[in-house]
Amino acid sequence: MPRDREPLSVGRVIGDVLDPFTRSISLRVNYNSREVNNGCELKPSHVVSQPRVDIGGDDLRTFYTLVMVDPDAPSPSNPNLREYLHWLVTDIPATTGASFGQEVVCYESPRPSAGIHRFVFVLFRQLGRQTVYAPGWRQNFKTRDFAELYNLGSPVAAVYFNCQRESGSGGRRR
Amino acid sequence: MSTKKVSSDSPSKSPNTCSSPSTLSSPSPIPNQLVIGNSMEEVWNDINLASLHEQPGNYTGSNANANTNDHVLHGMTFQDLLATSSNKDTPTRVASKEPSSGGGNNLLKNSLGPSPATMLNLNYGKRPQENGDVSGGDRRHERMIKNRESAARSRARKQAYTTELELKVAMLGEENAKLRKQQERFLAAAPAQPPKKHTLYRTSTAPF
Repeated sequence: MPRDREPLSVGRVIGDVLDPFTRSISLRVNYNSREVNNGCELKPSHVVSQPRVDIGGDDLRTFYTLVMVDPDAPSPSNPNLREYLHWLVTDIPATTGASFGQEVVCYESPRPSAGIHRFVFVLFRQLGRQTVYAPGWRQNFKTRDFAELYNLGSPVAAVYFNCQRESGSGGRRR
Repeated sequence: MSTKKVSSDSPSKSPNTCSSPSTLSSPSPIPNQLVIGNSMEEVWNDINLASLHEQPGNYTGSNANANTNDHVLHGMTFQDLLATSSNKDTPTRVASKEPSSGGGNNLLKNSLGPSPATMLNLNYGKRPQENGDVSGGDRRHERMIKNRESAARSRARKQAYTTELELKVAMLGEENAKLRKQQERFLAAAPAQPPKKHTLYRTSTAPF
């Protein structure tokens, strides 16, 4: 698939949040058996609780970090709080899930008030078991800077979904 | 000169079916009640003439004070314009200058000195201008840019979702085919194996 047709690029996740990368580990995110596919839409009521996250890889001794951010906070036309950190889990062993990791920043339910927001999950490979410090606040988090700070390198996987307020009427005609 | 009586069954939506409105700069329809007794082309020609005569400095806020036909009704919304055009008083006031008949026509021609497009754009959905053209134009421009960006985001959203679904479909199709083949192989291989024995039997595990 040519790079510019990639959903992550077209949806501007690559650009606004991440730099181009090569997917190498599988990442499956499920909210109550609703699987997250790039660009799908979920309602706030569907994503109240943290999802089930299953990652691939093969060596239980390799650890991964999961980041969940909203680059469209407070609204996509005026994203001055980009990115808003919703969840941060580290030390996830390969082939397991987020529940096996260390929750550094607890899951906050998406509650977009204006516009249609993207919510991005990013997976990084850690060099080893490491101590990650929670940022002082959730807003204006920079995934790129975070990765550099903790030597996480390029992402190994990413997926995103769209979400608008419960009674919103924007987006795809249903 | 033919006198075309244009019917007013659907005032805001029906397109004008007269001879080519070559001077029409925007597609916004002019309600047909105003064009009574004259051909459309004549009205439009007269509008152009009126705009040539109009002096930029003569802006008055209200229609009540207008006693010459060069005044542009800058402070009024287009809706007000249409409302007053059907008013019986106006034809007598503005009838003097222009030779052609029909009070409604005159009001239309003289008030629409600047092109109808600008009039609509300036006043559409807004209160009458307090601080002149410039900030209104800026706000409009900003709004337009924001709308463009929003439209671009919407297109990107749609395209990303569609591409993702196509990928998913392709992947699932492959997986399905693979699994079917596997299934075939298992079904074919199964009868060849001996049935499982449910009895206890001795095997040798110790070296002695």
